[in-house]
Amino acid sequence: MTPTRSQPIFLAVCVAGLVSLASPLGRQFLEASLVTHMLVQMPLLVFIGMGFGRISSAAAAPYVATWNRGGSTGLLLTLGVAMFWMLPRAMDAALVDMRFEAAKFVSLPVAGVALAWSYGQASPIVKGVLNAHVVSALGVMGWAYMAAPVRLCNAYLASDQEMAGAGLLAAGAVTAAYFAMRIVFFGATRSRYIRTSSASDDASIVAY
Amino acid sequence: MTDIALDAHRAPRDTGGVPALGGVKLTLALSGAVIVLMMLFGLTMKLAQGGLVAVEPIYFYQVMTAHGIGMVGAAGLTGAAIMWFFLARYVALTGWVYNAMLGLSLAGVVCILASIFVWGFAGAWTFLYPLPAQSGGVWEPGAAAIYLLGLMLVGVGFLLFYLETGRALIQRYGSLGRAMGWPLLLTGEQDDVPPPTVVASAVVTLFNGLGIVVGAAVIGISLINLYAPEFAIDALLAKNMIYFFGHVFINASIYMAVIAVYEIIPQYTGRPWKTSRVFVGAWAATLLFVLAVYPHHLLQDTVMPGWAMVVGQVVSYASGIPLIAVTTFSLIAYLHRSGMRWDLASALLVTGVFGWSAGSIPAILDSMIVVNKVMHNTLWVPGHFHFYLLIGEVAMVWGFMAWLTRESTGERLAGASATSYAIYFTGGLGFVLLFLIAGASSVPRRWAVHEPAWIGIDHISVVFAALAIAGFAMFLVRFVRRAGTAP
Repeated sequence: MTPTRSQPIFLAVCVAGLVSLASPLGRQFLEASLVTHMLVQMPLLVFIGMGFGRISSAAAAPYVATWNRGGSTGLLLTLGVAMFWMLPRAMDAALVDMRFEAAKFVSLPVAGVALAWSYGQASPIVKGVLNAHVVSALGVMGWAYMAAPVRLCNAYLASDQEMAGAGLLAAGAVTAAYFAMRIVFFGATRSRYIRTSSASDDASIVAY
Repeated sequence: MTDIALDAHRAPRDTGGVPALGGVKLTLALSGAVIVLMMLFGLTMKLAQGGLVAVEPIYFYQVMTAHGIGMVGAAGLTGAAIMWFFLARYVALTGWVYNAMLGLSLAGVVCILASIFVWGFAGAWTFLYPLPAQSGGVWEPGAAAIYLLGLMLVGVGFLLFYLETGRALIQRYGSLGRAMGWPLLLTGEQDDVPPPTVVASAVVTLFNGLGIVVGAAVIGISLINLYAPEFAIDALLAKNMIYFFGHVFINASIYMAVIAVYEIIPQYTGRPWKTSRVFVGAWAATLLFVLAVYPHHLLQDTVMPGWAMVVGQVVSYASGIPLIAVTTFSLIAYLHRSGMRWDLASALLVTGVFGWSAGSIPAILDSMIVVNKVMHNTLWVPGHFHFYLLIGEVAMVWGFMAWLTRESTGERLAGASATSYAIYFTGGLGFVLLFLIAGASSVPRRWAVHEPAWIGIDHISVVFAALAIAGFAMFLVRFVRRAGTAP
């Protein structure tokens, strides 16, 4: 992202968002229900991290380029963090153990930063696989939360779990529709990449 | 990117610039062999139903499962080979992706065959819940899991394939909407109108990409259910997801194969297949219809919402229009007084469009709720899909293979090629018509053992099936002998 006058405002919004989410009031409000914990707080932490990542990507590019070729390292980090926080056991732990809670507030924004630094570097095929995986994973997770015969999280009600499952299914449907609409109506015209040549080689993607 | 958009009607059999051409040829040879093998499986089932050979029902259902998934896989792979071959004329494709798709598909095939013939999975290719998990002791959950993992591998391979075609189309045309020709459809814009191959490829990329994602989700759910049965699936939801995925996938194989007709027939007629507003509109309608038509498989599920049933019936009626009114009518118009020279390739390609069109008519009839009530569980339905696959998709594929290995532009439909074509067409048409006759006579489908009153039709079917197999075997030998020397 090239430096602009709006960058400090964007940074302030991200910091304010992170502080709000981490405040006792914000935590109590969003962690009271599985739906808001899983579908609001955790995605917002990743989005805030992505905001930090966008602001810092140009400055960080020279340092991370050598060990993040094709965005592979960053994407693996993001996937690893996401896999961990998908576990009901991890969410339970965050509610009763401050070390897990702190880890959540650090790891999810870091995953967002890694995603922002890496997604644009990935080849279109890798991005497509990730996008498709997100849609099908949301569908499978949504079904699993709705179909589970027992409570998966000790801290939340069974009814909460069903609502979270429905929310995940809805998120999967919205995400699928978004990707479909984007490639049908916008496609490459929305690309943020700069290409050094007109060749089809993905290696030509060098920067945002 | 390098603009490689070329005249659609270049020199015959021009294979220059096709990435992974070896992979394409390997796909055709392997799929051809698989098709013949699966036809032998089909013949075995007919022989068993007719009481001519003794096959234990437990093995009958294994063979039926292998026949179904083998044919669907071969149809998908051959359709993908055709689409890749011709799409490479207009966009820059990356060869390793095709080879990765082929490798993953072959790995999936190994898993599927092992699950069936080593571990005894026999739950039909549709793996409908709860059969994979509740086999009554016929197979272990592990067998079903390996089958599903095999499907997953094939699905991942096809996902890579469509991501690559989608990437290349977007890179060349800016968006899939433009690649589908929507500016022409909506505003009449004539700038950079995509050729028919691009329009068809963009539509298939979009709808089969969606279908594969839904298929991946339901396979993932089924796998969890196998090992954690307490995670129950809503059976109706599972059936909807499976039929959405399955119906879209098998339709995609035909829509990919028809690209061979768009590209090759103009070489014979000397009349370019044009991208008109009607053509683009028909493909846009096809996009919606293919996604919305699958409920006609669920008309006997009385718990389905009424509106979904109505959609299934109405869209089934409508889905014939883009096909019959546009592709078939256009083909007839292009052929009329063109002075076209007939050889094996052109004969098979035209036959393919006939089989596709005619085969859809029994489907439209079956999608009427009142007809469906009495016909859907009869051999009428296999009659319909054998019609549009055996005489439709597969004919287009063999036509493409014959065109790819033509020895000279002066070949005629005579001698061995005419004989093989006559044997295949007689056998194939007779076989599918007997399926339809059996269905109209209320012979049930998926029964390993037939009543004495039904086996007369089975005996005649065996003769026609053997003829069709003989014809196909001749095509395959011709292709394999020539493929090594063709450019």
